[in-house]
Amino acid sequence: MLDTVTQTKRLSAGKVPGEFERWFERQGWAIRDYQRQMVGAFARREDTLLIAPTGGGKTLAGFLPSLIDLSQKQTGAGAKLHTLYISPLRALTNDIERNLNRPVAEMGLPITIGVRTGDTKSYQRTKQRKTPPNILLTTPESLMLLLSYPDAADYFADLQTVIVDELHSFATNKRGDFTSLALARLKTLAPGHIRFGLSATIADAQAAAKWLGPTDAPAKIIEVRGDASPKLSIMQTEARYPLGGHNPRFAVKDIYAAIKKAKSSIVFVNTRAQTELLFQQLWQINDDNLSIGLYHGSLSRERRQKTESLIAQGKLRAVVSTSALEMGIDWGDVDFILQVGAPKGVSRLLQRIGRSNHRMDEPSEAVLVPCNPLEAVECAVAMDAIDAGQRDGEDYTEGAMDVAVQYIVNRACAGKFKKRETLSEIRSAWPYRNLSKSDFDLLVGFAQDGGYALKAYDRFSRLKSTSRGYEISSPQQARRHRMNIGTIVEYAKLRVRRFPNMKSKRFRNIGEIEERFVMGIAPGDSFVFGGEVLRYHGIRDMALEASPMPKKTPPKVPAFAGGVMPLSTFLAGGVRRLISQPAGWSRLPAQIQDWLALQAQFSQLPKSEGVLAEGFFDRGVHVIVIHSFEGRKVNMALGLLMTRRMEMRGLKPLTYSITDYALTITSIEPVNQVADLMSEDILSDEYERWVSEAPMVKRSFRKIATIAGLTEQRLPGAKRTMKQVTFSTDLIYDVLLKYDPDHILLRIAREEAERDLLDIPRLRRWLSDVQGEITYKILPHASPLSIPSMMQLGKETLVGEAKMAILEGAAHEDMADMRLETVRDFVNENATKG
Amino acid sequence: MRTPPKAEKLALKTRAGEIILDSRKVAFLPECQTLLVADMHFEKGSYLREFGRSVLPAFDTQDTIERLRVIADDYRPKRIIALGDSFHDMRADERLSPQAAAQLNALSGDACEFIWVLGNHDPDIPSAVTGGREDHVQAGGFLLTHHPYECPDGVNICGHYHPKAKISSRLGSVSAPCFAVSEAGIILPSFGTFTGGLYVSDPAFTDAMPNIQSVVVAYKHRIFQIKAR
Repeated sequence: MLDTVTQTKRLSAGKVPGEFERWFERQGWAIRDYQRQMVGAFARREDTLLIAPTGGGKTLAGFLPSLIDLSQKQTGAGAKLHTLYISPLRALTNDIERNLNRPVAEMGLPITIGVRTGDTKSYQRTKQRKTPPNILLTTPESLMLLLSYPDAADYFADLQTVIVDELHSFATNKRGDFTSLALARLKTLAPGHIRFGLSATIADAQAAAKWLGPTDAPAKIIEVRGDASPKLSIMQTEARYPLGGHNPRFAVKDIYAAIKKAKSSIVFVNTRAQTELLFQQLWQINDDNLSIGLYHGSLSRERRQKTESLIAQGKLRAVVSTSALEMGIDWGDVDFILQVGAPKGVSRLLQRIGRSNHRMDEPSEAVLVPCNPLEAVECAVAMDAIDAGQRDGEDYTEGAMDVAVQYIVNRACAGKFKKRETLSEIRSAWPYRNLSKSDFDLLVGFAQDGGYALKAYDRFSRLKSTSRGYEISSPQQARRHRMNIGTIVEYAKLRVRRFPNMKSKRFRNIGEIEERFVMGIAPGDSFVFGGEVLRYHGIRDMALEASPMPKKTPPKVPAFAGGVMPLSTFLAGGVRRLISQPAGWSRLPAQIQDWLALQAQFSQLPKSEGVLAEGFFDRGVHVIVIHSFEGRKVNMALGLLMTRRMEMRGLKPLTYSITDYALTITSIEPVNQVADLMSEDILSDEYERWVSEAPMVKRSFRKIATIAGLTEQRLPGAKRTMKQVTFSTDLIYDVLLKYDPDHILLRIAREEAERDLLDIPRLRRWLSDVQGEITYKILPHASPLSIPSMMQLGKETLVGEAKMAILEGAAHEDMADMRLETVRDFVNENATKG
Repeated sequence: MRTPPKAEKLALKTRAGEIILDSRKVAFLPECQTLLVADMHFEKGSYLREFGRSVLPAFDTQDTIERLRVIADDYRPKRIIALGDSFHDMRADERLSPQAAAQLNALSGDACEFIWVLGNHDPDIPSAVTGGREDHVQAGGFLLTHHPYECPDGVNICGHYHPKAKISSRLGSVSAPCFAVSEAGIILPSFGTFTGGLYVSDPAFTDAMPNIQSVVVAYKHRIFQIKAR
């Protein structure tokens, strides 16, 4: 039974014209119930959220009403935009274009389709603005850009439908806030259009429907459940699991064997660096010369598109990929998915599994390859959750204020606005339904001239206020804004130029690499990029120059930003439950069971209530590991506050590092009890003082300053590097704190640090829950459970005095050296005299 | 309010005499009671507002002057010499507030002379600001300039490069502004509130001071001399 549709009451089917019925028949498809219901929703002008499994014709269901409507209309010259499709990924828009063009061509429909993303060439953009296609496929950023032009009102005037694809990926982040504001604007410009949302995995359909509809008018929901649940297993391996880290090397032979057995597979890893690493490892044992590719967002557009089309044509046996291939794209023949590393979330895992066997009635097949014991436990928990039909909860939050500032400026670029109207427009976006008038005034004040308490002696303002409303102060200002639209703050990147050899003058751009990585390598060093080993020549014109390295020296792997994927809270809780209950361990690989048994013998297992902390000496420093299983945000906040108290107690903390499961703190002095360090009053005593000084708030401020338009990533003409941005925003933060401590941006930065980097409310609840149930084991050595957490080498955060200690250490060694040199000088002088 | 810890200083013996390097990113010549400060970049904030078209808070001039005032109160020097790039751009005088000019002028007086060594950013000093204008100043064996000069017997003290250093250890690394020291010269860190830095390992810096011997790192209220590697 496929079309199990819930909430069928008023969602009757719409009429599908004969030519469409016949086209479906020719494909050997039957039009599904919910596809007809979407046609009905279109006719009734109802905002609708469609939740259906991957491979069920969900995207077609979104477009079908538009195709039918357009086929019956007089299109051609003078026609305006009819349907706008918003996708989170550029790659997805190209894929959708291919898939839509087929029915349009085969039925001979007079419908034009266009793609508008950051990759679109400027002549195409110009053409699109003059003659809009009937259907435009775009990303949130490109949409916002279109909305910033004065002709936006005319451009979108005839809009009938907006389709938001992969809705779950927008719902709970700044990019989602940004998208919701763009949707609100569209509603003002074309009040008659409706919104369709599409998603395969949503835990809280009601909340998502509220997000999709305007405030107080949630979208209708059509939910379809597929029957075939995926076939999942953890990879069986003879190899020994590494105790920590995320390196799949131990299982690379098994991974290779699995690829060889399958027709075509996608190997998902969690970071860009891991794609390069695993690709190298696979290539080294590729004795059968299987065609294996790699794919991640830092590769050049040409390279990505080439890989995409190779997969689509079934010419690759396997592709090693990041989440960049995770969404929507229909890769015909992929029959096997490998997930290397922890899944990090149930929905994410389902999404990835959904890439194989794109037919709803057959089960997808996937094998999970955990790379350390805790990842193995996480895999088992995720598999159980999928069997039980459970999903991660999404965390719907209030709309971000820095995004609202960007929106206000965007609005001003398109023409004069009145504050009252814009406030109600912003509030019609569901995340911003609670925006207060006073906060809105502060945001407009900031957008205008910074809104500082101390008025500077200058004439500059970004918005001009006239009796008829606010508008942008100059065309340069509008240009500056347009170049900085978006919510993703990127690290400075360098293009990678590949020369065929060291002497050659010709090169190709093969992608982008982070500036940070380049600082750590010297000319002559080798590194992997795009699946090959390159020799680093040097940097010229903001580009890194390199050529293939003939010898196979152990290369460095570039670090890419955004490597850490947060673990869903839902999974974190599951991991703790499974570990605490040996009865459930049978699902785990034997090695992992042994590891847990060893933990029970040597120390103890964490219980389902309270918290286990362990203390021991390791390489001359004292280590505490707190197994909270509460996720990174709680561990980060706890780390900041605990190290602070440790400093006050004279315990000389040095560093702390976090994982999803545990907090690790090193100190010079041994810690004999932790109850005082973890008492609830660390939140009252230390919190206030910490908040204004915390590096986390500065980190938030950096992003906010960019999104709100205080500093920019790209200036017209000159490309500013992130290094400068980073530096100056820290300085700006210090100055603001000193001279205008109540400024709106500081408030936003604090709120955001608390929300995104440190979950204070959750820490508060957790601390209160564990009081009286804190078990502290003092051990002669690191326990099995502590080892994975301690393996976060080089990822520690230094605590206050540790930086002094580094400088002191360096200075002391040198004082000794310099003294000795002075002695030598004396001796030499005496020798020459003598 | 906690009182800030006392700023640490380091006395350095050079072939031209003693120089005090202060963790507040200034230097002092005890023999001639001269306070040295480099690269203040007054009105950089307002420059970025006006020409960078950004809503930046322009409190930097105020902050830079205030920090210098506290240091001057501490040393009570006979002369304060600014080693160039004191003003961020040629049109800074149009944006410098009368209050700021008054605060600057109050730093000098009968007991203290102010000298502006001219830099590439400020070949002219706003007319509202008092004090001498010089291309360079010779103070005993010390040659005080904006750009580095060869100084075969003495020691050249200059600015321009905004040096900073990155010190690494097993624990991690620390980046901070520094004085760059060689036998024949000392390059001061930049003093302005909105100024960035250039790593002493950068080729552009190595060209300016090929024979660097040590960096004197100013981190919070502390100062550390570390040999160059």
